[in-house]
Amino acid sequence: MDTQLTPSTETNYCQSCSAQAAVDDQFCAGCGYPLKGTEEEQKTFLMNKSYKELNLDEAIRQVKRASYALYYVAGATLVSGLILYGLNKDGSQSGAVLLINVMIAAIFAAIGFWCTRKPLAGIITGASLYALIVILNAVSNPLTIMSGIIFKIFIVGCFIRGIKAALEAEKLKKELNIG
Amino acid sequence: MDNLSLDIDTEEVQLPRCGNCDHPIHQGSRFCNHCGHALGKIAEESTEEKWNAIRQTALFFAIHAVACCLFSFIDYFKTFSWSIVVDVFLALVSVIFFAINWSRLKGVLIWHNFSALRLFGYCCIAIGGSLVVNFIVGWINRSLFNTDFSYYQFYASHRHSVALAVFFVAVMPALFEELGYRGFLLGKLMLVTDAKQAIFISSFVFAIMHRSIISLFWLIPFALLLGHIRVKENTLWYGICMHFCFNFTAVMLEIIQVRHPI
Repeated sequence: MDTQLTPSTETNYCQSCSAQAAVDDQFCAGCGYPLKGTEEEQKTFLMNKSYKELNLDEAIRQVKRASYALYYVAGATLVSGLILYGLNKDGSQSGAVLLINVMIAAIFAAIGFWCTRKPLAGIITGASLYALIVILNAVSNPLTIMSGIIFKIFIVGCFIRGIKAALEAEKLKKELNIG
Repeated sequence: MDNLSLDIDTEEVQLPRCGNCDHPIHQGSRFCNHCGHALGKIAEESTEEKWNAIRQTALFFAIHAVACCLFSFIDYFKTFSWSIVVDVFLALVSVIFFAINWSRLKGVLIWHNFSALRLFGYCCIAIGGSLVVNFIVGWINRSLFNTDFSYYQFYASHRHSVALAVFFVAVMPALFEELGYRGFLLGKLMLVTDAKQAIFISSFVFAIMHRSIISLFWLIPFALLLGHIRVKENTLWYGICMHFCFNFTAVMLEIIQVRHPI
C-alpha cells in the first residue's frame, strides 16, 4: 500500500536525451524514448531519432541558404543603386535613388543577420519586402518583371524552401527536445 | 496515510491529462510518460496548419501590395473616384480574410475588460505621437525635399472636404487596417510563430505597405505598439481607437495648415 501511494523519488536518465525520468516512467517525458520498452523498440526509436537529426541538419541548411539569399539581395540592391547612380550622376534624383538603394540594402542585410536568431520571422519579413519591391517595380515598369528573372526565381525559391525548412526545423527541434 | 492519499489525488486532479491515455502529465512534458503520446503542437497537422496560415497571409499581402502599387504608380488610378474604389476594395479584402477565419479570430472583436482610463491613456499616446511625427516629417519634407505632402489636399476641392478627409484618412484605415493587419494577419502569424515575432512581422508588413522608406522610422514603432496592445488586451478596439486618434490628429493638423497658412 505504502509503495503505491508514496511517489517515487528515485530517478533515471533517458538514454536518448539525458533528461531525468522517474523509475516508474514508461516513456521519457522529454523525447518519448521507451524507457521500459524492448531492446527492439529502443533501437527503432534511436534510429528514428538519427533520421530526424539528419532531416534537422538539412532543414537548417535550407534556412541558412534563405538567409544567404537575403544577403545576395542586399548586395544586388546596393550594386544596382551604384550602377544607376553612375549612369545618371548629374540627374536631379540620382542621389536620392542611391540613398534609397543603400537603405533597402541595409534593411535586407539586417534581416539576413536577424535570420540567424529568428529564422522563420526573418525569412517571412525579408520575403515580404522583396515581394513588395518586385511588385512595385513591375507596376511602375512591367518590363522589370523579366529583368534578372533567373535571379528572382532563385531568390523566391530560396525563400519558399527556407520558410518550409524553418517550420520543419521548429517541429523537429520540439520532437528531439532541442531548444 | 489517508491524508497522503488525499494530497496525491488532489495533485493528480489538478495536473493536465494525456489526450491518449488520460494519465496525469507533469507541466512542461512533451510526451506522456505513460503511453509515449506526443503532447501539444508536436503533431504533424500543426506544420500543415502553419503552412496554410502562411499561404493565406501571403495572398492577403499580395492583394494589398498590388492594389496599393497600382494606385500609387499608375496615373490613371490617381483620381478621387479610384481612391474610393481602392479604399473600399482593400476594406473588403480585410473583411473577407477575417470572415474566412471567423471562428478563430472573432474573439478579438470582443472588448474584454473595457477601461475608459486605459482607453484615454492609449488615445493620448496616439495623439502625442501623431503631433511629434507630423512635426518631424513636415520639417524633413520642407528642409530636405522642399515639399509639403498633405492627404487633405486630395479632398480639398470637394464640397464636403473635411468630412471626406476624416472618413477616408482617419475612420476607414483605423477600422479596416486594424481588422486586416492586427486582426487577420497578426492572428494568423501567431499560429505560425510566437507572439513577439508575429507582432514584428505584421508591423513590418504594415509599414512597408505604406511604400515610404522614411516613414518606416515611425510606422514600425507605431505598428509595434498597436500589435503589442492587441496581444496584451486581446481586442482590436483599443488599437482601432488609437489608430483613429493618430490619423485624425494628422488630418486635422493638415486642415488647419491649409485653411490657416502661417
